[in-house]
Amino acid sequence: MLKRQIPLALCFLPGVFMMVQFFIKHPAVQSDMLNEMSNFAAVIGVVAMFLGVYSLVNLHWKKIQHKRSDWLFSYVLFGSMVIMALLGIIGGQQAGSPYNWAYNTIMVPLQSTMFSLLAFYMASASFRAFKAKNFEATMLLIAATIVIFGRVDVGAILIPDTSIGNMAIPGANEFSNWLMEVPNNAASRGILLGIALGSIATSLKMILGIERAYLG
Amino acid sequence: MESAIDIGFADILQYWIGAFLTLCIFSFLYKDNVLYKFGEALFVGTSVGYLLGLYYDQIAYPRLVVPLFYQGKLVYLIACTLGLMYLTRFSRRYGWLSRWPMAALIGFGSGYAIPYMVQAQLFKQLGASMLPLWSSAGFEFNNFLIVAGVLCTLFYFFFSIEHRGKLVKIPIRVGIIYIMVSFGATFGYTVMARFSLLIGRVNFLWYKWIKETVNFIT
Amino acid sequence: MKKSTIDKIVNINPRYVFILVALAVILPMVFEVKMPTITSPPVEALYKEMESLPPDSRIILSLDYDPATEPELHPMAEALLRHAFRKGIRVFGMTLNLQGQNLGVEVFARISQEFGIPDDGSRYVWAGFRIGPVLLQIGEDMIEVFQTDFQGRDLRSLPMMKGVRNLDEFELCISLSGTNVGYNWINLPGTRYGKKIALGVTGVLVANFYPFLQSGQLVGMLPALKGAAEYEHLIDYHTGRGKRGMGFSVGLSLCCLSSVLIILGNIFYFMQRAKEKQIEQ
Repeated sequence: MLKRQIPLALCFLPGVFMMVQFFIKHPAVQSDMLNEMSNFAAVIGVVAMFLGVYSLVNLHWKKIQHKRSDWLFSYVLFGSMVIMALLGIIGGQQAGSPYNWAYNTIMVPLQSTMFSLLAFYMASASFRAFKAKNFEATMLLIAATIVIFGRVDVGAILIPDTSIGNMAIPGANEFSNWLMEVPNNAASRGILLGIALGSIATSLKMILGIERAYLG
Repeated sequence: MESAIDIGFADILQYWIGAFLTLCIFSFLYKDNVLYKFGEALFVGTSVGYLLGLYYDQIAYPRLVVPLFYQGKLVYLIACTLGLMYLTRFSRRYGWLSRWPMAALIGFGSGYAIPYMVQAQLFKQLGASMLPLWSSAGFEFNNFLIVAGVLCTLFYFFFSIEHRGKLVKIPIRVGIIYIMVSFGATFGYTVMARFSLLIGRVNFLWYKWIKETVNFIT
Repeated sequence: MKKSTIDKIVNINPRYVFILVALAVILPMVFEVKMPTITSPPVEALYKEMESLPPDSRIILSLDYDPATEPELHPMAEALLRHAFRKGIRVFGMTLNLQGQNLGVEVFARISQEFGIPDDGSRYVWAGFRIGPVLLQIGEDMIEVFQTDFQGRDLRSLPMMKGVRNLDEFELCISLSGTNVGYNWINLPGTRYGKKIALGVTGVLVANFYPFLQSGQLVGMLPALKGAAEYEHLIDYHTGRGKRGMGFSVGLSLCCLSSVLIILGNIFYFMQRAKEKQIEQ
């Protein structure tokens, strides 16, 4: 009972409450109870974060103990983690604080640059991996090229709107606008409806205890 | 009216540190090296430390410490206990206790999503798909393409019948074309997004680091 | 076996491509060749919506992003704040992303300083980050959810928040996000509470939100860094990060380099396949 029934009940009761609260507009439900439940969820989430931190600390501590490759950098990790955490807890987080300064000076450049490396690898993949091996891949690459040309200013200069007699031929910009508003719109809506139906079905299965994968 | 902000030595120092760290990460493009590893370790450490500081200040203190110890709301002991049950994951004997808080969060999240998905994503989107195919202006070609596209895309994902026979295969083929166009559009924008991230960093290096340093010196 | 020229090109060392990318981004930025900016319907729609708001209206600007997506979304925040402050619109800033908190502190402080707006809560409030079903709760009682601004001042004491109880006092909600949080804004404040919603999204998510534009659930959208550049053009601000990033010939390098690489890659691929078929025969 402790390993199965109680977790199922703990999943069922908040799930049903959250569905039912949608139809109850009374402030006692919408303000008070919802506030308390959201605080509960936040507190539980904080401990889950500590699980992740413990795993990271454990991994790097073992690296230092056994002097595995690049073990010296684990000291950099620990040092920066402790200093940043102390700056936040003791020094405060207002504008101009050391915590804020460290965030803008160290974290923002590092995190932005890590993700900007993707541009290089995307360009490399464009040349080496994106091959039109079949009709579907060709359609994908043509649509991508139209959108890329249409969404940059120079695309309108390279492929401008023209006309042959009375027939207007849209340029890159107009064509890419049409592509986003009509075929892309239709397909995205179809996918959205499918995802919505699937999410609703899966959520109901979890609340009713039919889907129990989270129990392990 | 907008006015320019004066740049001081502290700002220049900030730009130089940011530029050094940026170039440390970019050095990975040549090959993995000591500078990149230093930047990577610093990034992971500061990120975790930042989150710890923020979690304590924004969540743990106002939502647990204050209600429990200053407002005397003993009901928060339940939240605290449920949260601590997560830590039993490390025990082989009592690890099953970690299912309790997980189940509570899953139930909370699942129930939260259902009514809003039905209202906003199902009903509203279905309503928006009911477009007129003929109006006073004549045949509405774009509306026809949208309605046909939505139906064919949904048909493609319908696996309750076998995808056999011309009557079934034609809408599925049309659906695939629509989906590939949509994925192509997403891919095109994704290429732009990735380049935008790089443009952002080069923007910083050129306008903030190099130009502002030259302005400061001169 | 000796490699042919085509094989060498197809299996080129990726470092040469990296050098091309670096040059393609750096050179246009250094030489600043200007291009005319063409605006798209979703951006024009958001601009018109902001223009239609009278002075002293209140809007919510939610910076739901982190440093990873900052290069794309921060220029949008800057442009929207400039427009709002220029028009005398009051802005309530918040974030649903933990790391967005400090990004918001920086951008609100900097842009308000440019306009000479004091940090006294009269024209803007930066409330910071809150966790939980915030979007559900702000529709009922916003003050209960936030209680204080980022600096710890009671929201009720701030001039801009006098008479504010919930979303009813706000004309427009704008979320800038690189994740699926945009769906939550549409589902909750948009559909449940009937508020006007606009989004600024990264390139990866743009295609997904077009159905909401067509259904009227979104009043406008800023798609990726190009959207920020277009909005800066509409508000007549030509030295912003959006225009510097996207509006100039960096766009040329982008479309030329990435499209040409795809086309060239496919040309060489088909040449290689034709050669292999020839050898088989």
